Amino acid sequence: MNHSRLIPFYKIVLSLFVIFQMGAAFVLPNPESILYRKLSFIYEAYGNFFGMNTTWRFFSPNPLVRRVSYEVFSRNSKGALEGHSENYPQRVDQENFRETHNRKFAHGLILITRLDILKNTFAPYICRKHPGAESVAFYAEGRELPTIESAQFFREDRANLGDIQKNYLLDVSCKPEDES
Amino acid sequence: MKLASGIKTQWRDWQQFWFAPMDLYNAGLFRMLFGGTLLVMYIQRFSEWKYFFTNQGMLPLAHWENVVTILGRMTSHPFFAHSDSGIHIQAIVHLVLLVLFTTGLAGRLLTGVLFLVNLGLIQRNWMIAYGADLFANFWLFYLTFVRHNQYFSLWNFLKKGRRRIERKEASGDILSTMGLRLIQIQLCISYAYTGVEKFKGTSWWEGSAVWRVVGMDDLVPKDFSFLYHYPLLVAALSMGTVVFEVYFCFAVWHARWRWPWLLVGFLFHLSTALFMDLWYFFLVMTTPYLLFLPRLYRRAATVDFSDSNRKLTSFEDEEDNVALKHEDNVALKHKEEIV
Repeated sequence: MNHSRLIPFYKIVLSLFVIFQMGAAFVLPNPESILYRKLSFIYEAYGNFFGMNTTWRFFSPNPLVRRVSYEVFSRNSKGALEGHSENYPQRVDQENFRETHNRKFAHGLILITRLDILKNTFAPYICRKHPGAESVAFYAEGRELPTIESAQFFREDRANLGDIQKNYLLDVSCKPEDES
Repeated sequence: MKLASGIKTQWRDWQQFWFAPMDLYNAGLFRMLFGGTLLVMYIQRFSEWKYFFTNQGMLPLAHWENVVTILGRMTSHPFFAHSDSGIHIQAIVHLVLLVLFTTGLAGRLLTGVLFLVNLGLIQRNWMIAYGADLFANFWLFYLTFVRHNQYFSLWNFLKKGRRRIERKEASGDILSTMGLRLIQIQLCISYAYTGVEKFKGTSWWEGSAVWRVVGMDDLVPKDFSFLYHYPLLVAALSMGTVVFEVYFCFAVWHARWRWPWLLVGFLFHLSTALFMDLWYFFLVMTTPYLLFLPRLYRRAATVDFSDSNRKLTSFEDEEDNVALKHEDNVALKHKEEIV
């Protein structure tokens, strides 16, 4: 069969695909919409399958970035409970690459908003990392600057200008359930 | 009658936009720069391999299903190997495919394989995926349709006759045009969503968002708190970001606004790279800008001093002219077909 005769047919099929794909690009980023709810039977499985079900929310609705900090509690040689603090991710210069720091940061933001993931995956990892630990307390931490007008009044640099806000997230026991 | 001719016109315009032959020079350049970016980015990800992808790391497979369900990304057909050694091999295959992709040795089929292998690694741990990965996933998917290795390909050096033949074939390729258009449209939609999402927040609306970003010492290592001296600049940068993102999808199709808008976008992403070290995100976002631009380079007539070189140059020019003439003919034929 002559290949060029099939071109109009190909164009119709590809046009249908284009319409479907553009629909996916419009519908999938907004899972709260009625459009998404009504069309999820078409697009949800497709979006999940190809990894296209992503929202585009860079620094929106407001820029609010927090990192995870945690206190690991363990017994010293005298049997007294003592704690030490760590951050996740560590400072940029303590990581191999800025790239891995960014990935851990993205991970940290998920942990802060999804405490069940923090409890079930990250907390056990931290417990494994610190074999003698009894419990770990997790916090979300980040600097918040005052309004720009207040900053003009104080005239300080960033370290002295903003407060570090620390919000408690949860406590996790590192001992297996049958021991505790 | 009027309706029928209206539909016919619409269908003709639709075909012209989605399927008419497009020059693939910038697409080749985009693929090379984008592929190189991914290669470096994923080599760096490899440095934390054990933590990111194995059962000893942050997400043991036993918890995978639970986590992806919570994140709303559950799929019945994940594309990753389910053992630590298997996924290690998958990551090495991924890097090899990226080398082939970047050098233009991978065609559409291998690009499709690369897309699936890449997707599998993202699926194994969605929690470490950020903007650069998400857009890379889209670009790889759409490039699966594009004959992107016509230019900037090692094949062109390895096989002498390939360049001419491939270029002739490329000009009539409806799949390539569709893939490139989908990249353009996807970029427009993504920017529009990002911009509109910002309207939900008070800080973008009042113009203080950039000031808030300055406070994030984890993301912005250098201290830019001196910006409190320039509140109007802070407000202009905040508002300007929203205006740029919301109106990108209109401006970029307009001949007068295209260049300034792409330049602003380039500077905007460059500033995030400089101030927040988001270099890979900058490159993943700005390399597709090439697809909105006219062909960046055409071989000019060159004068060489040695006879043999002159001969070679004139031969290549002739080859180019033949290919270009052929492209024109195909485009004309395509137009006639549509009409």
